[in-house]
Amino acid sequence: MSFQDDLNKLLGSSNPYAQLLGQKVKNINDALEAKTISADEAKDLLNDINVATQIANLAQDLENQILAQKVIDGLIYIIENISSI
Amino acid sequence: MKKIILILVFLISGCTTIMGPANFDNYEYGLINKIYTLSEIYKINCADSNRTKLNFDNLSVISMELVNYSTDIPNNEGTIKLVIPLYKMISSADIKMNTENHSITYCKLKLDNIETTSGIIKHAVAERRRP
Repeated sequence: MSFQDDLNKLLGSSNPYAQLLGQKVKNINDALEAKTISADEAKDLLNDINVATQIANLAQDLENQILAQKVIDGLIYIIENISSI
Repeated sequence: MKKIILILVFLISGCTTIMGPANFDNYEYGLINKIYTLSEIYKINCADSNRTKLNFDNLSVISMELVNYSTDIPNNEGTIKLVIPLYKMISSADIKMNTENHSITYCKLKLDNIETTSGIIKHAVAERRRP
């Protein structure tokens, strides 16, 4: 698989975050080809995308913890109402 | 039976207090939202290098304030893990903008990366339970 094939696959993904990621890589590649950014700038921007991907995974963990907490709170509310009857 | 249920509720709620993420915090969310919004607005000024330096200085100050604030909130480890890398991304960009020559496109793409990253954090933090 070439870089272009992989990029097209990412851009055509049904996952919105994968699409966004693909678009960002495409923008960097386009800017590099048009020589509007340097190679060092391109590397720096690609590193940001790696960081954003790690943050997205951690954010998903946090959202799962929040959801679990909401479910526990909901069950506690139900149990409290049952026990007060 | 009623006593057992009450003990169970007490134990579960105790665990939640210890393990659950901190409740939604208006000020913390406001700081993240400010970074997200300004990183979008500041793209307009990328052609003006002096203005860009000041804009990145401002983003750097807000992101540092966010880290300082978030680290003092109890049970907030999940958010701290998100805001520290964001601060590092912004502060290193601020140093670059103030010390090195950069292209307009680089400035716009950098702000775009900050906007995306802060947007991911904003979305997760907004889900937190309201007190």
